[in-house]
Amino acid sequence: MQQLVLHPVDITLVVVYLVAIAAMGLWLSRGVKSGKDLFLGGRSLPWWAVGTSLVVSDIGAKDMVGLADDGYRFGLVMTNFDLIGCVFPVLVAAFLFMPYFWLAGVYTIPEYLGRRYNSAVRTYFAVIWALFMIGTLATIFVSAATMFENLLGWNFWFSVIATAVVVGLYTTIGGLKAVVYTDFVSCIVLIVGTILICIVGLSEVGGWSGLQERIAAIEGTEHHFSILRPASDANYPWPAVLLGLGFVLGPAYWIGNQAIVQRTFGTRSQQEARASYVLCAAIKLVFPFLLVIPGMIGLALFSEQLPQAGSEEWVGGQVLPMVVQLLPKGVLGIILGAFLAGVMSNLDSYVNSASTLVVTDIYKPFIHRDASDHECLVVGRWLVVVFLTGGAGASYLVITRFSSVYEAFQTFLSFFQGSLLALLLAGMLSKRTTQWGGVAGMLTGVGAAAALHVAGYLFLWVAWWSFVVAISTTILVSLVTKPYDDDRLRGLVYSLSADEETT
Amino acid sequence: MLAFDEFKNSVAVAVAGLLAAEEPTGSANSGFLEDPAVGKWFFAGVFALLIAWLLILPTKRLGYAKDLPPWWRNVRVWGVLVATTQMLVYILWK
Repeated sequence: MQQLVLHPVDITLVVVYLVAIAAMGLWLSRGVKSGKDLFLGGRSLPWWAVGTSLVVSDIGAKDMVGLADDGYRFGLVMTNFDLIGCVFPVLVAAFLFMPYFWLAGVYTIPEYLGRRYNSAVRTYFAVIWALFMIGTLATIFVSAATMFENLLGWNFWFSVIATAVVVGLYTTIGGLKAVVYTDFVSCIVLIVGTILICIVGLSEVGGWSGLQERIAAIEGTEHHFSILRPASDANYPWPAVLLGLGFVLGPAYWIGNQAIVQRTFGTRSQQEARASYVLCAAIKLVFPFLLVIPGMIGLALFSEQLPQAGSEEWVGGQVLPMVVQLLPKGVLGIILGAFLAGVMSNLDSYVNSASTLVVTDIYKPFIHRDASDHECLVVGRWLVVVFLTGGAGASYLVITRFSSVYEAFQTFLSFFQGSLLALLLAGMLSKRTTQWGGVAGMLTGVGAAAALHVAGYLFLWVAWWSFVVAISTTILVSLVTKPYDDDRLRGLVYSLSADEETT
Repeated sequence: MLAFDEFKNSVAVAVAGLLAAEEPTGSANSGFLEDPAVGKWFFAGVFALLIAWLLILPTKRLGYAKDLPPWWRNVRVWGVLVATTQMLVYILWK
């Protein structure tokens, strides 16, 4: 691929953006004096900043690169990851789950599970989430480095290390408050950047109708403009999208993902937490199209230069760098800024949350139970460095084992999301669910997911069936074991918290 | 391994039977659910149920301390609006 020589205008825009974000992050770090400030932004964050932070904690570099790849390969069906896979669960989370998390005053989802079930469940999910976050950091590093390598000719590992250092600097010092406010800026830049890619790309292919005509002329693209594919489709059959993505992966991600939910714990009130979720859902109505359409533009323009999707020669991460080369001077600087925004917002969200998780659910319960708030702050900052290093190292696995970073991300998720959702649902909706039901559901759900993966099942079906196994086991074992009494569960279960709703 | 194969087959049969859908790792199956045009009504139905639930949700569950805020500050209104838009996307998109 031809590498770009950036125009001074582009370079200036990128440098200004980077300096501004770093300066903003450092300025916001002034008030960070305790673990609560670092992990929850002092519980003083406004809903509009949290709402946009939720969007870019989910959508970032891996989505810009990964969804462009998968838009090229599969078309508009990929928008479901943000439509049925996000809008639906985010609204359910906002009105059903979030109030209980918020009122419980917890820092992490495993902390909630620990209170509802027992410490074994809490530790199990804390460890799994920590490992998942390392995997996610790796996918973000790979997305960023692939883009820099293809566009600018930077060495892959240099790109990984440079990204880790820049993000590590302000996340270590600034904590959640810096993360959320810089995410707000990143979200705006990201939206503007992706809109520009779509406008320039569509004008290049002759508009929407031109895009349809060009893609229709390419073999194997008959479903590229369909949001839903037939039930016999090999990759994204609509029943699997509905059951696996809409009912399991999406809800588990938006209700049980520490990196997501932690932002809402930092709001001023339960009302603001709910408003932030609704704002996120509204933005997600349009964002997926802005991320998938560049991949389809790439298909229309570069299908002869790129290997056929799914072939042995296919290598992920090539589509977006080719599409952005269409952009004029000045605009490219904004796009690179948007991409950096996506990298930084994704990375800072995950490292901050991973550090919160380990301090709250592993360090304090097992290593130093009486740790002071200041000690948690120091440990949390060191853990940011540890996670960034671990994620950078794990990028090697992602580039050698997966054809697409988005596939890697979703595969990691499908291993444990079914059992996590089962435990959250059963635990929150029924006081009859017991701690042993939870333990059994957790183990059988993850076991079923692993077995189905080995058997070669589509990850969407893996998520669905592991959920079915986990919730069935949880219910069955709960029926034959003794539940906690009502006082123990007050504020943690739907039927036992009505009096505490009003804030 | 035999037991696992049986389990795998039974899962595949259950999926195909319930959904008239593709066997997860194998051949296609025909049925009225095969058509994505049918699928879009299932997707729209999910959002219709969500809207109905949001509309009947007791006000005290929304956490308002005293009176309801004006409509433009009421998160229920915005939630219903977002869900309705999403439902229309699934119904109207070809």
